[in-house]
Amino acid sequence: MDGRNRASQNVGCGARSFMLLVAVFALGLTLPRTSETQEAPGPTQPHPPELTAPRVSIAWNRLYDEPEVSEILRRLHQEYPDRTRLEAIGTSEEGRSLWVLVVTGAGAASDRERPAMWVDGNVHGNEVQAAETCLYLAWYLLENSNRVPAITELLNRVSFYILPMVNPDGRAYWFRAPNTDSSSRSGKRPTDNDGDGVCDEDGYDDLDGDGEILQMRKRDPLGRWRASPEDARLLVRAKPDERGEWTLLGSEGIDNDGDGRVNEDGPGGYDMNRNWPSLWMPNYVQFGAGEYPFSFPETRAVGDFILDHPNIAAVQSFHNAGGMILRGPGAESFGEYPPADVRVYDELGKTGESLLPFYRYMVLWKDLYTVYGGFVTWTYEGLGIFSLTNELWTEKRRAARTQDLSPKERLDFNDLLRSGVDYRDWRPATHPVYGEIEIGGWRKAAGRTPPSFLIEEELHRNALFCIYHAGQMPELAFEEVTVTPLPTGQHQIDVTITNRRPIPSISAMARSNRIGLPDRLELLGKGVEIRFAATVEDRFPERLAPIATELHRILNRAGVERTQPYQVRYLVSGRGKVELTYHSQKAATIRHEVVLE
Amino acid sequence: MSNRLSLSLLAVAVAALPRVVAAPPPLPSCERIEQILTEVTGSSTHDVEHHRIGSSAGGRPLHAVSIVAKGQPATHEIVIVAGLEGRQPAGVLAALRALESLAHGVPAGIRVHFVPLANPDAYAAWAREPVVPTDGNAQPVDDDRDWRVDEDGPNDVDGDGRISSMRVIDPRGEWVADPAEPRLLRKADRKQGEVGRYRVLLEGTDDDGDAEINEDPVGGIEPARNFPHAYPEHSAPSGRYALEAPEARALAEFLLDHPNTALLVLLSSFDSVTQELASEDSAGRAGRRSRSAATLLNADDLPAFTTLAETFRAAFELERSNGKTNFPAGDLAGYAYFHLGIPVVSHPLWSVPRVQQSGESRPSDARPPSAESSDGDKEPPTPGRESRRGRGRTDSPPVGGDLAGARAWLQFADEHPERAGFVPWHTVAHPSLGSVEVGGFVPGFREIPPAEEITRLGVGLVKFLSDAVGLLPRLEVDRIITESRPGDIHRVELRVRNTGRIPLRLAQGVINRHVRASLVKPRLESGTLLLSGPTQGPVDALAPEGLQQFEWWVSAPTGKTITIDMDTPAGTSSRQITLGARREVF
Repeated sequence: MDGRNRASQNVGCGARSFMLLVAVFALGLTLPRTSETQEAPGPTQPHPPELTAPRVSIAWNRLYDEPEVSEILRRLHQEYPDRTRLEAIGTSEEGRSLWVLVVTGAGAASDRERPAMWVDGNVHGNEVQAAETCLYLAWYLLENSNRVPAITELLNRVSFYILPMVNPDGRAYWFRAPNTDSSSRSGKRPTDNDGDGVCDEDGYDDLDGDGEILQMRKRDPLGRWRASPEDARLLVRAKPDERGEWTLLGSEGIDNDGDGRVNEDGPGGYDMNRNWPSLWMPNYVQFGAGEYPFSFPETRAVGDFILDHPNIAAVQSFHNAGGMILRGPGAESFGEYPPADVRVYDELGKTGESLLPFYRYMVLWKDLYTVYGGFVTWTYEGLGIFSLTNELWTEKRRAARTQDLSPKERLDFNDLLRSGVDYRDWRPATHPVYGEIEIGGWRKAAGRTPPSFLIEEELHRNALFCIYHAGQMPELAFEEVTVTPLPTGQHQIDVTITNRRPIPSISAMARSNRIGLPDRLELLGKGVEIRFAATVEDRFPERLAPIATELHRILNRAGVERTQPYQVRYLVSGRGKVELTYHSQKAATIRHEVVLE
Repeated sequence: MSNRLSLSLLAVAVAALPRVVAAPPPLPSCERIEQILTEVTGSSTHDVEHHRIGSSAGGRPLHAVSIVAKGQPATHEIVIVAGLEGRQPAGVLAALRALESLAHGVPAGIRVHFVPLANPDAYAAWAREPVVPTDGNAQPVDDDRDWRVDEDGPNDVDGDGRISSMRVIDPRGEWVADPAEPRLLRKADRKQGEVGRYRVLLEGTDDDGDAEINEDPVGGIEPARNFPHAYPEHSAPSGRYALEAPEARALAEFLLDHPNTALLVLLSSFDSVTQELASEDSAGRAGRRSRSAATLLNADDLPAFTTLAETFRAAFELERSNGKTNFPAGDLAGYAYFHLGIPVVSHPLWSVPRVQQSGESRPSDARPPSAESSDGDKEPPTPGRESRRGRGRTDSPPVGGDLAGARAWLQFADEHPERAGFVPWHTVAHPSLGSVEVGGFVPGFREIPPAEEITRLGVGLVKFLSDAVGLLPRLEVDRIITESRPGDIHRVELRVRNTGRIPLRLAQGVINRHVRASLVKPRLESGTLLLSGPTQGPVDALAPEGLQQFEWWVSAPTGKTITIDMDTPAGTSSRQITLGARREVF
């Protein structure tokens, strides 16, 4: 360093302090005010760590119908107009608006000039608490910005694009129409699922008019089911030497179209989370894929928005259920992801496991099932963005143990902790074809969604996992810029750019597939001429790679990783002010000035 | 060939001065084509509809014209697509000529949909000066990913008003002069110890100062590489995702909106006519990884494709060649067949002339680029044959032609000096490469057929359509038998037959479930009871002359009727049968 004039040095520990903050949340403790958090930007008057009087009061122990979700978004936007924008990015098949709440720090010039995280939910209409998780994230960010230093700091650096309902039609239908916990997964475009040229003509039928789609059973001496000795409401298979009592007839329904089949062509009948472009497969390979990628208005609107926002550097999508943190690949045929990116994924996933009890970090095709044309596989494989899907809620949370509940234990939970509201006992009914039957079973909100008293914790943990993920997006800095006068009268300028976060400015996937634009380092100064420029490939011993053309505008196609600073050396002639600018699509543009004396 | 010989031939070529060359034959502009379509629609003696089915990336309208014989029901629909590739204008011209003819004489029973100019942005490149043929639309694409868009395309270095090729003497070059025709180049055979002499690239300069030449020309996505079949993701001309190109999406939507399409005629560089399509039988399918999309023709569909190809060859007097081919990745043909189950016939119509001793020529069953051909057979980058994927890499493997074809074209050019098809190599001072030679085929010479050929191609297309109508599947009642048993019990038997020459549904159409089965549905009078038999009986795929039998048992008083509805994608027909006769045969 002898003889060198260190013009600037920026070394921070924001990442470490933020990790500590998350770890504290994970332990469920009240956030103490540490010296590190007190140093972070924020109001001069300390606020109490717990939010006692939110500006937007929302009950987080219940689920919200589709108009209510939109209304909450409007309320948040109205209360926080300085740090939100509410944007309808498109309309659904049935004409509902697809509302994205853009959340940034107060006074941010633009949500685009900084890394952003895309968070969505409810692409499957029945996977409802995904939307509440998105709402909670937006609410938590807004209520705590300019109050909790870590959140203020985060929102000063990044943006969020939050779409709680990718599939508002499916959600609305799930809430308002008779359904099971798994039905209304699709959107509402009329679809001919049984190949008879007619769309949606044979769905479920609420035979007893109770607003539910439950199970049908018929008393049948030839049946192979009998009442459980543990609880008469439960059915168990008769042993080979036992007489049965019941035949199970599936979900409530009749053969509406007279083709000899029941419930085979209900409303919609496709899967929008198989309609994304990367490794998309036609419907005969991947059920529900649609006619081509982005063939549905909802997926197209999301696709257009994301493609139009190259600053998105993190993606989180919420589904239910199972307690999973999922990454791609969606299919074995894709092969494995680049090792450098897997390391980042592993860091995100393992941290997620520590925040989310009973959740497991998994690879889609290997640990769950094959998915062609999935959303997070598109955003990573197609766009190079680190992307995760969380399957919200696991039955293990009921008993707070790793072993699944038995059917009897689940009924006991319902009887004792839910006052019996989730299960409807068998009641007689008349079926037009099967005659006298009984209808009963688990209601739609009993299987894939948390009971009300466990909703808030589920939302909080997952929202804070998003906040952690967002904090890992690239943060670039001119770590060191040194100017060294040379005996020739020229100056040597050595520039070191670092990334303080685990997510690189260009993922290995983006690099290898030429996705997006490279980073760009510019050096400009009136009266200053660049005579030579090179990237520093190795420091010990030093090895330079000279730049042949456009020395004032060097493209860095490898990006900046946390462990791999980007270093450039210039030899310049002339005097005066020199401005260095580093552009990256997935990080805020950074600038630095030096003066050549 | 020795280097000494190569040098001497080069010297001869270099000594020749550039000729003043006439422009390629004029093509009708996009606006003129729209006008033609309007005129045809207005003057037709049939029922003609002219639709705008979308807009190109450059905002140009995408037209479709549908024709059906006046007062005649159409049981089948045929879609004809031309101009999806800008470098295939012959199909556009032939389709327009056929459309003008069919507007006054369309075969009965079919509705023909013409999309005569599927990629007008690329077609419009023929009207720009200098001409740079392209298959890409006008969507701006930053090919070299340098934060600047479309800033470094080809340039007219020698100032002759055209973009030709440049060859630069370079020991790292991969090309040598063709010993048989030194005006042409071929790849050096390195296995035989041959050393390359030239780098070859399109005529151009480094416009953006990045030391690359022509690496970011104007536009665009190539719609013919933008369909979801085997979509080549992360390949620059294919776009960011399948059907990103509005031209490709409009065509996909058009086919989806016409589920009764019985045949797609694609006038493109893909040749399914003179070469047999590689196919995969059931054993091959079983060996394929489960849950993966098919990329080879289903062997059960080979007879149908063979029949169509034979009919096409007969209409155009083409000969069959021995090679095999396959559906190109990302092309419309593959989407139509693999995803939608539509029979496809595809051919460029105008390709390498078969040069005859007499000097007469006509288009032939030119050998298209084959995966099996060696690099040495390939033609270097020229304006009409350049690979988008290779841009920025001056010695990238060229596509779109072979050396044998280039020789034929050169002979054709020599025999037709009035067409001015080849620019002799001549030396030019290049701003960054020093002394280079510029020369090669003139853009348009190989792509735009002479006027008399356009008429012939139009006639051929009309003949093919007329012949194809007779091939299309037709579901007809073959016989009906009724038997009565004591106690007013009746058995009704219906047998149906496919009287066409291609299956009722292709095997791939059954697999992809996109082509819905026809349904046979009994309707009973009140007071009758269906004892057995399907209420909605799906009709099988039925090969040509294939039969299928349905049977119903009915309890009904004698004299009652049963009506059988045959619900096909093209419409419903009914047969009413009176119950009670002991046995009737229709």
